[in-house]
Amino acid sequence: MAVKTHVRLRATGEFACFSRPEFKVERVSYPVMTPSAARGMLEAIFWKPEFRWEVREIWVLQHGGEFVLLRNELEERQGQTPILVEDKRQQRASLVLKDVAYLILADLRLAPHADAPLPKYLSQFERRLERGQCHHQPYLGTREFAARFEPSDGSETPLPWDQDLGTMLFDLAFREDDQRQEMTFLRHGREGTREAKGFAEALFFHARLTGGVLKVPQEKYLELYRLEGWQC
Amino acid sequence: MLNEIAELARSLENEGTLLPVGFSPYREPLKWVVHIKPGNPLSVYLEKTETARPRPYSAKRTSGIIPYPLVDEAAYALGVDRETGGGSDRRAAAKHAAFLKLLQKIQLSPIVQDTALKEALNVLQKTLSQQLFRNDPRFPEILSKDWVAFMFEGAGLEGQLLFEREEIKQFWAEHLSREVAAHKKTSLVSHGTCSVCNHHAQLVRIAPTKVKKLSGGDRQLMSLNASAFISFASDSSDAHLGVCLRCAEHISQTLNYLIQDERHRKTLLLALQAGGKVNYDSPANQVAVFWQKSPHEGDIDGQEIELSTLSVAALMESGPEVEATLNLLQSFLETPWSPKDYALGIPDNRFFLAVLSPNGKGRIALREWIAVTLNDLKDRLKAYLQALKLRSPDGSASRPPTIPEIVVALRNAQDRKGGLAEISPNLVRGLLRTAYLGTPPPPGLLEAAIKRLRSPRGREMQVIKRQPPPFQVLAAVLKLALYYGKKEAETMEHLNPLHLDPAYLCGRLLAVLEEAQRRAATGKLNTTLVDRFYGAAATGPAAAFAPLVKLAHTAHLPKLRRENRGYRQLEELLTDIMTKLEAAGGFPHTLSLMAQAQFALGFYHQRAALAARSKTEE
Repeated sequence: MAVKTHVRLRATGEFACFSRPEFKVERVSYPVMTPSAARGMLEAIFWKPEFRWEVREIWVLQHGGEFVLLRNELEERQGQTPILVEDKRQQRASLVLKDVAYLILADLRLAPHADAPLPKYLSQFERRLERGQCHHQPYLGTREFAARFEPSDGSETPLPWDQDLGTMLFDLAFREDDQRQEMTFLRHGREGTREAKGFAEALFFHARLTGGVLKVPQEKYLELYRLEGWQC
Repeated sequence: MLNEIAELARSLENEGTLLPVGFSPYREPLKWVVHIKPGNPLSVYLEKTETARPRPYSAKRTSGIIPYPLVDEAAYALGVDRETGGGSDRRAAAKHAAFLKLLQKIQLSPIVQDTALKEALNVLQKTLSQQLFRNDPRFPEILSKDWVAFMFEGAGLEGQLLFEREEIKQFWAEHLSREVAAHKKTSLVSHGTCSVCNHHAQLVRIAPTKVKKLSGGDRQLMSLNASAFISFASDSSDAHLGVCLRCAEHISQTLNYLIQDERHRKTLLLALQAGGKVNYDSPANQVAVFWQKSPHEGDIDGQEIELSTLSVAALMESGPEVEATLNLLQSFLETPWSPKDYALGIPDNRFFLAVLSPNGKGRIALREWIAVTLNDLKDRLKAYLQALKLRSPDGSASRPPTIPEIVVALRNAQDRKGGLAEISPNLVRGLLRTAYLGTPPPPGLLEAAIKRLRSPRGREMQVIKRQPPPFQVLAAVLKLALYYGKKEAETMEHLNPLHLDPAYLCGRLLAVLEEAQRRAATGKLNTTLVDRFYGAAATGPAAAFAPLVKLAHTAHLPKLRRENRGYRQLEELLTDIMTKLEAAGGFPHTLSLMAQAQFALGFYHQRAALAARSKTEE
């Protein structure tokens, strides 16, 4: 029995790579979509600083198995300085998923500084979903694997798949820290938007697929908000 | 995958198979032991030895000066600078100073609480500062690269090497964790949740132990080397692997254990260059490592055998034991689970298989990850082996070919430069997936086998170097591609006279025509009509068969009738096949890839049936 949620989104694609953090060079995907990848999909369609997406469940509707890709990739991030591709090429393997379909069940949580009611944002999202509008093309794990998306019609059935998936990435907490100024990110609040310095901390949870459904532990969101200093 | 390896590591650790964190087996033996006897005055003497013992190790010690705790090369431990051949280690003094500094750290560490050990460390400090070991007459024999350890002959520590004390191991693990977790520029240490064990810990930048001897070299499974492959850090010197030291060590050591044990490792494919040399750095090399969650030995045909070893019988290379092992596997697959097996949870026990490839000189890529229960494995392996089963060329019952035998058959023709023809690594992994996951046979398999069959070497019917005949293997591959998971996998194991596919009938007809030519010839034929017309007959039967059938009726069959050489049998066969072909719509003009496979299978079946009949008549 699915939980009652605000949003149900169906996402499909030919390939997907939900990279495991420990395999980032020769990439290896988790067997199913992670909650952070699901959040990324929802944010690609609609996001505002006034709310956060909380993923409740991910249903595996289709899983076409794994597939190995061997590609020539760039070893350097691209910036303002031009680079000569031939000098910066590395061949990398990726163990990716193919022919996948997921149903994402998620809720909206308003930020403390939000000045509009929840239904306003929900209606905006639903309208965008119906029309196929998005801020950028949603993707399945990595940007080269674009996803198709549509609202759920209620007929979806998860695959009969039971498996203990072990430790899985939940999401990233962007923590302000004067000692570890490893990156810069934006903080939104009543006083507007400001730049903050700190680091990103990965949070994990013990994932288990039961009847093709991955349930996301809600207490993890509270931990995430605590680490990011969010009052809720 | 890493979760399952870490789980195996825990059980190996409980058995005592794994080394302590930060330890490694060394090829060089421990050459000297410095014995220190407390008293006034201190008595110090040197013992020459040749002991192989695991010792502390750090992948960071390449050109830098990094000392190990209470055991090291003589340049570090004693400050000896003599080198083999009369040279001198100019950095010996700096190395010894680093060793003494580490000794001080051990003395001050809160981990070291044992009073006896503390006393031993104080005396060692005194011994080293006063250089008492120099009084021993053997001291001039010590060279800077000789490994030296220390033993304290008092306070109840007699007979124990100091570096093997539990507290010293813990100190080293802690020290190493900080060393490999510290950022290069700032020396800050990243803390966070380990992506494998889900515990809060120091996250390491490099794994201290390398995976050894995978495809000819030592490599890392987890590593970061360039800015494009890291997230949330300015460059690779600040980025961490997302795992703690314990998990990093456990994973590397467990992979080393699996790779070095023949019962847990099989080489699937070696990347060959022109001239037959192996390119060990190529990602085309494929090595499979496998294990079972709870190791279990099954009683099969009165033999105790580990089920994980048996499950990979399909990966064995040709050899005398293949036959026996495959027979055992067949028995295992045919026997249903007993109530005792269910009570022990064996059907739900999981089997894991990972295919690893090198990528360049330093890294390993995971190319395939298979995790199945033994129950599922049994059903899938059964279907896979059944689809590969085929009578041998002389018509007798035969075992299915293994994956390495299939690889040899698919690449058996030499190219122009004398090297072996290349085979796609995807085909090998695809076969693995069919065998263990039950996925359809890999695309490209059919094409590769048909391509090989066009060459006379591919149609070879003789056993070469204990390998099954190439034609048998290739025909088995075609059968797998055509009938995997279908009921024909059983009925097409040998000649099926009820199979009325026109391409199959054409293949049978070619075998009969060849037999007529062979029987009509007085001496040995250098070239048969198959050698000359197989390619044409397999692609365009309508055009190719007309002159061949005419030739048989005007030359070969009349001769057989005149000389009484089995005319009636062949004539009956020809009439039967031609009648069926006519009913099926006559000779097809062209054959698709699938039809060409049917043609090859029909040809092989009929040839084997004729050979079996001749054998019986003899």
